[in-house]
Amino acid sequence: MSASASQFQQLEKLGEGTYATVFKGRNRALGTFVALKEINLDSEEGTPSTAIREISIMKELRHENIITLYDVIHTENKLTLVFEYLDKDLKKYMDTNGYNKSGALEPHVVKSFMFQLLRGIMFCHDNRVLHRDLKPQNLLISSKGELKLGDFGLARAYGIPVNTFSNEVVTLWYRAPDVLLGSRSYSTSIDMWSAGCIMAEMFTGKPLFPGSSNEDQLLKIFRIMGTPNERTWPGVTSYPNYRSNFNVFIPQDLHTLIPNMDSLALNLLQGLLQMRPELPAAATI
Amino acid sequence: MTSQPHKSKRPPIVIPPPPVGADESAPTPTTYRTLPQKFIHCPKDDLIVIISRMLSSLISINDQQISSDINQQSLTRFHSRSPPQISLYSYLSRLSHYSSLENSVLITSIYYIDLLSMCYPIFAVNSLTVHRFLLTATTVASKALCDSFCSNSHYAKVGGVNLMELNVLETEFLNKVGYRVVPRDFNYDRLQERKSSTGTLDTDYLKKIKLGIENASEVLDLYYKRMVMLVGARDNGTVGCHDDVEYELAPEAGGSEECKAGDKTQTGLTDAGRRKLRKLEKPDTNGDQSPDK
Repeated sequence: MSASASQFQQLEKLGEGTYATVFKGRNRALGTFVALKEINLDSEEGTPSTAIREISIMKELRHENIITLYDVIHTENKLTLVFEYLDKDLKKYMDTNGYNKSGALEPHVVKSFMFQLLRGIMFCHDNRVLHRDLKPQNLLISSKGELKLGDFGLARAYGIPVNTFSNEVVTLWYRAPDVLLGSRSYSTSIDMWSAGCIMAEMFTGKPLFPGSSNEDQLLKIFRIMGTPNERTWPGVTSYPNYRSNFNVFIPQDLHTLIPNMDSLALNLLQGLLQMRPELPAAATI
Repeated sequence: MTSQPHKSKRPPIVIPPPPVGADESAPTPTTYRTLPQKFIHCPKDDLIVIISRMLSSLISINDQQISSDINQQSLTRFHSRSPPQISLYSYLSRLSHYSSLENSVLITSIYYIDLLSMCYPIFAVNSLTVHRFLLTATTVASKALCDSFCSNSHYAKVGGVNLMELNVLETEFLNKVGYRVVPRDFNYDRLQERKSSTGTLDTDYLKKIKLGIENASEVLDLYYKRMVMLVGARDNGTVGCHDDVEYELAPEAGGSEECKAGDKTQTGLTDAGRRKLRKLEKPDTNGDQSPDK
């Protein structure tokens, strides 16, 4: 906590979230770039819970596929987190580097990014941390092709038993079916589902399940993965948001949807996109 | 907000009677109650009694240091001018009830005593600091570990301090512990330090101990079990509730040596037990977390 705000020169704005604004910054002494995440402090809530979580978890997670938190600067009405700077997030990377402006990435690039994404997730899970907000915007890509997990504001140490588990987690398009169905006892599988959605998106350049509401999101998933029932997913009918009148779809062949995947990639994608929370492949390499 | 009670005579502290002797004069028969092995299953009322007994014991030790060496340097933001009127047990029950504190939050607050004492050695839990400390610790733990939590203005109202003061206390706490508020075995931090300075390390020992935040739950279970062993016996002071209850842990299904050893020490918790109390607070050092030199 020794850094002070004057050490950094604030450059252009990189992004704006619900509770923070991120700027590019330059370390005046070293000339190196950093990302400065500025959080406004509101007196009613004190230090935001998201900031406490993000800092407390990122301080414990040091890994080459996870963004490094260098410092925390606390001033009167602002909290600034100093992160390592990476050129762009995966979303922007796909927009600028996808072939034929489609956003789709070459299979060998997808392979490298997926390997790094799964290594990062595995490290989180080994430390009993759920990220709970994996999406292209939260994965950062360096000019050398490194991929790192960022934005741990929704993360939680899941080893600690608590009675309250929110199901308002993960951006809708990347949210796992059991969470959409109202589960409050989800675990590592929710990050694996997000990884599957991201993988498909890298291959095609388009989000796999771009739902517009909780309900619509479930239908978009069922349309491709098939509508679950007690035979394909024992226990599915007891989730709070399950309805017996869901439209019935049969599972589609992922390979016809994403033809440029080889069989290994297809295997991985099928392993990640498992509707039943107990089934997804674990992030082990 | 922090006052200077310097030079004033030792404040009238309500300390439970010393453990020895309390037993013989006890008029009511002892009730025995068995608590589950895992803190998550412990009934909240019993957990609050256990924690209150633990804190009372610590306070009775640490209060002996207050009178002589209070000065500007030993004052922290957690100090009150004089011990608040509300009893520890009532205060903790109040926080727990109105802020819906989970078991994990309550136990993490006890873990935070060790954490803060390690990072900020002049801090000690005593009858002047315990209330503000508990309010800050439960606020931070709820926001760090739980998905449902309240605003600071709510916590401040329940805790009986001004919102601005709670914000300052929260910031003070977070800065002192470097925001590392997920429970971990911080003895490991020191092991690493030792490794870097001497270059050697007992690798067998390193393999045996558990490291880092992936063991948050085990760390909290250990705190819970130790507390029950140390202050479960009814001679551990009166906190104003269940004072006639003697707690013990349910036998462990698997059975670990650590737990069995603890069962034996539980009965004879007198002076040796009190020394152990201090050990629990500072497992890796010589066991004194008092503010004096």
